Order: sequence, then structure tokens, then C-alpha cells
Amino acid sequence: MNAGEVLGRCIGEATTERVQFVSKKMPRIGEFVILECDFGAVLGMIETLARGSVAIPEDIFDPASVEKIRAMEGDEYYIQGSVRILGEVESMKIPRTPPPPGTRVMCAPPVVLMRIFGDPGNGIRLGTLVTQPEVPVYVHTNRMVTRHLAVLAMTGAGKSNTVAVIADGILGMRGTVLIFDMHSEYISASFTSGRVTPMRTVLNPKHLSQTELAKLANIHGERAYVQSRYFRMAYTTAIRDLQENTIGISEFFMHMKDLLDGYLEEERFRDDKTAINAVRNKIEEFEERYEQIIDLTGREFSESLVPGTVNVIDLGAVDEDAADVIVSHALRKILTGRKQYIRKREGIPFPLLIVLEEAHILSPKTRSTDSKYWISRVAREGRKFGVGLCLVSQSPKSLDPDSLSQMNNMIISRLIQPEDQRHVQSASESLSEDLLAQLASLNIGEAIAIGPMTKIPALVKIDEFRGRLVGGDIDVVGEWRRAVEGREQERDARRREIGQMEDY
Amino acid sequence: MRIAHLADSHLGFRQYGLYEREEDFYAIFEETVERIIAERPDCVIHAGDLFERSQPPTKALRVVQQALGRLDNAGIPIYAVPGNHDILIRRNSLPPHILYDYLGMKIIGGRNPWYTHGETFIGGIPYRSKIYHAAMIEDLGRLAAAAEPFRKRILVLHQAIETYLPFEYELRLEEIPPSFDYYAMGHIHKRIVETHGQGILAYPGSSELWSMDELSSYKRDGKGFNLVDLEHDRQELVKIDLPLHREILDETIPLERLEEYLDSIVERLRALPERPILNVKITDVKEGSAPVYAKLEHALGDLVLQLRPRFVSAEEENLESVTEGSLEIHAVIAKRCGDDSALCELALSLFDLLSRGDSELLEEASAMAEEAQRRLA
Repeated sequence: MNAGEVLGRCIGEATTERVQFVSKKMPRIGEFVILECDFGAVLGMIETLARGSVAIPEDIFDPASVEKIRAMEGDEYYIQGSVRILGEVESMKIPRTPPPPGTRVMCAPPVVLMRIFGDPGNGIRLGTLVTQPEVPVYVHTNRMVTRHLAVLAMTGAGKSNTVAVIADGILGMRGTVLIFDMHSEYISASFTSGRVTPMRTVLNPKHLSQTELAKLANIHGERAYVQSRYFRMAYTTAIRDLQENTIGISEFFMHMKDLLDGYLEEERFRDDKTAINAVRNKIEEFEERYEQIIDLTGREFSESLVPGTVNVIDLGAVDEDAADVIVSHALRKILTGRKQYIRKREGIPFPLLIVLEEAHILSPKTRSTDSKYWISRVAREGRKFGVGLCLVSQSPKSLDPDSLSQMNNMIISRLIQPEDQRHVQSASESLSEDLLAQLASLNIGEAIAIGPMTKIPALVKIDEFRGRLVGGDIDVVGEWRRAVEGREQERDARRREIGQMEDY
Repeated sequence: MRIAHLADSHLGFRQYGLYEREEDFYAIFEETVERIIAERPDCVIHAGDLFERSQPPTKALRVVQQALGRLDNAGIPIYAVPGNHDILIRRNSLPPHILYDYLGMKIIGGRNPWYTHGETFIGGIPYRSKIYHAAMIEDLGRLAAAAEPFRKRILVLHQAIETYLPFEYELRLEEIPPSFDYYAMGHIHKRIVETHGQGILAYPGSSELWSMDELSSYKRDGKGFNLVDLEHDRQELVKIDLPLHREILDETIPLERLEEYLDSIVERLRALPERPILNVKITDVKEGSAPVYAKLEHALGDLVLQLRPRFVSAEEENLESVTEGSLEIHAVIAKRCGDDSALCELALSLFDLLSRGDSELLEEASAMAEEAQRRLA
């Protein structure tokens, strides 16, 4: 529709939130309109549309009659729809009175939309309006980081692209991002506005808390409290000896095992020999299992964060338990590091946005994980300390609802499962029933952006990330062909060489 | 059908740069051929590395020429597959073997992958490095198919098999077709005899001591060639030993017993028919090896072809038995730094920084070192 074009007129009873209209033209869902009220211009968004004909009501049962009517009446139809009122154009406040009946409904001119979405200010460009591609959509960075963000979509609907666009935008503002890269997608990505800092996925037991270590060693306090007690005894002694420099860090686990062996000899622990042995075994299993990610000389992780870059922790090669420990450890260190900085000017001197991929694994609805606890802590306290969370998930229904409801901003792409849709709606105040209904009909790359980062909800066509991402779907057929061709070429080349070398 | 099977003659090899050692290799080859003629087999199979290099000294070519002449006079044909030392991995290069076709040498190669000797199939493949593995497997299958109609089948290869040379092999045992009666192998210098499939798989080993590593297997198994009889239901294999004339001694003596040793060995050395190569390791050497060397040289110099001493101090002796655990460089650095985590961190960061090979990072590195020094102080 052209800007300023009159679409139709309001009909029926209107409220301050919603108004019905009829039209002879064909607008599109999600399109922004201006209602010319007596008290001033009001901005709204078309939420529902229906198309009907007075001559062809729904109680006709014979297709032949319809054909006759059509022959007589032609393609007569009307458009009826509803507009959600977003606010007065000048102030963006919800008007105090409903628009009067008969108010003209007009296409919103780009100038108005530009003023609302297109101000680069402190914003990150997400993309353009789906309905008005000439209008770019910027989101408010401060509000996005401090009020957290959820990026929700089905697999293949463009989550990674959205995250990459946001990270690139933050880089453009010299901001800092930390991505927990569950699928090794970002570790070798290249961004247009900055670089990636790969962080080694290593844990130094020196920097781990006793509970984190116990969890990695598979000693669970609530189930194995006796084991847990001996583990704690050995751990606290070993840490003390480490701090007093009576042992070296390389001897840490050896020392713990020696201490446990000592307990075995002691008369007063006579009854707990099984438990002590179990703890000892678990420490050995732990050393074997986490050989790859345990590094006794590793630096404290928060010291390796580089401001102004996308810091990537590659979790592609570790199992879920280890990922849980790494994520919860990192979140704890970041939150305390930021608190320290705000209070004492020590710790982490820059705010950051933390991207958690596969958030439904780290913070599941049904299980309790360490990450879940720290995600909710950061979600609650982060805004005061400049730690933003971005939870990414393709399965909102298995994501912890409390965590999700803390994400005040959402970028939601195609979600088909009704359960996912309901879950998202119950977590978000600003997602109406009608917007929700839109979710299943979004195309790839299109998303609904809501929350404090955008003044009003918008249907956005997300920009294509201009850097390079690893991942995406593999071209299976192509890979097969290349593999076979490569083998054949290799074989032919070797055959030729053999022919030339063994020509005797 | 009786076959003499030998391999790894390495003619033209001048070990330690000694003319006498080159002659030793010729001498044992000539003796081998004499012995083969005396055994009157139906044919000879040489399984590769006839020469040390693909361009051998004329003397080596001459030795083979004369030996083949004698075999030809005796009416014994020879089949040969080129080994890795005989060839250059290069387009259009030829192994020296092709010089001897007029003397009846039958080269197993690209043009003639197999021959028939009466009712016996003799086929094989010249040495191929591991990158030709796929083609190797394919060609082994073709040979097995071609051998199918024959009453007796011999496969000749110059390759290492994983079971016997686990880290530098080109073939695994199970990749070799099981349908041959005899697998005439070359390449590994030890003597190996095994059953494989329905036949015998054998490495006759080298005929001279090509490397000191072969000393223990020589003492245990001897050196020589194999005589294989395929006429009976079960193949029969006899190892023919040809003792080496020159002894190669390998001894370890603590310094304090040197005098005693010198007294006893002089007599032993005088009794040997040829002057030996003497490898001697003197342990517990405290100050300077020069006087010890002078002493050894003075006492034994004229009695040996070459004196090859090694001097080891008590500390070095201990060093040799260490390095358990990881040799990953970060781990080694961490271990060396011991308990000092600050030092360790510095060492590791310096290592990482400087390994990038960028001279502009030197400043950063020295700043890092100064900073650390300040902290440690």
C-alpha cells in the first residue's frame, strides 16, 4: 500500500487497544496504519484480516449457486480487519479515548515509521520491516543488554544468523560479547566489525568451587552425603595445602587421593571405608573423563575475556555435564567479577552480553542444573551490573519458564508447535494472542521483535549476516559426490604415477 | 619345486664410510650365491633391496653381473622385485635390475607382474609407499585372481607388515590374500617365518648387518637365506645360515674396570680372523673423555677396523631412563616449572607468544618477563 493512502474506515465499537475497520483495498497483516482521530494521529498495526462478500454468505450449499451469483455480481468483496492501537504518533502513549467510529484508516507513511524504528541512535540494526522493506529496524542496545534477550525459533529458521547479526552490531559499537558455542559455529566465524577471541575450554580445579568439582566428579550431596563429606574434607585440606604451598598444583588430585588413603587407615572412619573408596575411585574416573578440559595451569577464565571482541568458548567437543559446569562456572565468575568492578574497581571492567546456545539444555524446565541457577541469578541481578543474557533455543517448551520470563526482550521466528507458542506467550507480557498466531506463518529470516528494546512490536525481516559463519546445514548430496569424485581422482592420479614409475 | 629366497643385500653400502664394510657386503653376497648354486634349487627369488641405492657403484653392478653369470651357467633362473632402495620414486626411473635381463634375471614390475615357472605362479609388486595403499590392495587382488589356476603360487613383496613393524608399515597382514603357498617377503631385516592363510610367509632378513639394531636378532637367528620346498603337501622351509666373517662387538664397560677390560679383550681381538668393528660404551666417565679415548685408541686402535666409543657420565646414564608421561611441550614446561605456578604461567605465555615466530612480539614478551620479575621480587 502506498503511504498516506486511505485504506478504509473504522466501524463498530472501538476500545483504546483495538478497533475494527472495513476496507476495499487489500492491506497486509503486520502493516502499520495511522488512524486520524479527532484528538490526533494514532499508530496501529493490522492484526487480523478477513475477506468476504455480502452476496456470498456462508449458508449457501450449492457451488452452482455461487457461480450464478458470481456471474451476476462480479468479484465484489469487502475486507474487514482489526487494528491494534500502539500509541499516539507524537508521544507513543496509548490514547486515553478510543478512536471515534468512522475514523479514516491510512497507511503509515515511512517518515513516521522511520522515526520509530529507523533511528540508529544507540541501536543495533536487526533488519527491515517485513511489510515496509524500506524502513530499517534498529533496536536499543542498552535496553537489549540490561533487560536480556531470548532468541527463539525452530531449527533452520535463522537463530544463528540473528545471533551473528546482533553480535556484529555490538562489535560495531565496540561492545563485548561472550558466546557459549555449543556447535562450534562461531569459533571460526568472521565478523565484519571486529574479531573473534577463541577461549580455551579448560577448567583449572584451583578456580573451581568445591561443589562444581564435586559435581564433575559425580558426587551429589543430596544422594551421597557420606561421600560428599569425605570429598569435602579431602578437598578443603588439599586447597589449604595448595594455598600454603606445601603441595604444587600438579599434585592436587594425587594429594586428594593420598588424603583419602589416609582416612582409610584411621580408626574413627572405620565404618565408612566403602564411601571413602568410592570417592577415591570417582576422583580417578574424573581425571580420566575430563583429561581434555582440566588444565592445572590454566588461567582464570575471566582474565582471558577481551573487550571489544566476540569471545567464544567452544563447547562443541564436551559433554552436557561438562558444559553445565563450564557455563555455571563462567556465569558465576562474570557476575562476581562485575560486582567487584562496580564496588571496588577490580574484576571485569566492561559490561558484556552472554549468548547461551541450546538454552533448554543448560536451563531445562524439568531438571535442576547448576547453569539454571546461575542463569536466573544473572537474569535477576545482571541489569545492575551490566551483564546481559541472550538465551537461544529451538525448544522453548523445554526451557525453564522462570529463566524465559526474565528475558524481557524476545526475537521470535517461526514456531509451529502450539506448546512452544503457549510457553512463549506465558513468559512474555507483550505478546498478544494475535501476534502469537502469526508465529507459525513467518518465513525463514522473519521474526517478531518485542520488548523494551523496540518501542512497539515489529515484524522484522532479519538482515543476512555479512560475515562468515561455520555450520548451517551440510550439503549432503554434494558432499557425497565430492567424496566419491575425490577418491576417484586420487586413485587415477596414483595409478598414473605407478604406471610411470613401474614401467619395466 | 625348490626355491632359494633372499632379500636386502644392500650392495654398495659403505657402512661408516669404510671401504672394508662395502667389501663385506659383496663378499657375503658372493658366498650366498655360491651356496645357492651348491643347493641346486629350481630358482632364486630376490625380494628387493639388492642394491643400497638406485644408482649403485660400478663395483656393486659388477658383483651382481658375475653372480648372475654363475647362476646362469648353473641353469638357475632368478626372479627379482625392486625394493625401496633400488628405486627412485620418480617418473620414468628404472631400477638397476634391468641391466641383467640378458643374464636371465626376471624383473617383477609393471610390465611383468607375474611369471610362470612350470606349474608355479611367481608374481609380485615392487615396493610402494603407503600413499599407494589403495592401488596396492587392488593389485594384490588381481594377482590372487591371476594365480588361481596354478598348482603352486608364490607372492613376492618388498613391504613392511604392521605386525612386524608397527609404526612404519605399509600393509596389514589381513590385507594380504591368503591363497598363496609362499610369501617371499623383503624389507624387514630380521628373519621371520610365519604361517599365513594356506602358506608360509617369510622374511629372510638382510645378509649383512646393515644397522647396529640388527645385532641382537643376528645373534639369536643368524643371517642367510631360505630354502623352500613346495613339492610336498606341506611346504618345507629350511633356513640356511651364512655366518659373517667380521665381528661387530657391542660392549658396555664402567670406567673403573677399563684396565681390566683392555687386558682381556686384546687377546680376544687378536684371535679374530678379521679386524672387528668395536662399539664400546664407557660409563661413569667423570672428567673429560679425551684421555679415555686416547687410552682406548692406543691399546686397541690397530686391532679393530673401527673403534666406536661412547662416553657416558653417571648423570647422563640416569637421564636415559627418564621421560615417562607426556612429551607434549606445555606439559613438559609445566613439569619443569614444578610447583611455581606464577613461573609456569610466565613460561607458558612466553612459549605461546614466541612460538608465533613474529619478531614484533619480542617487545611484548620482554615486557611480560619484566612484569613477572617485578611480581616475583
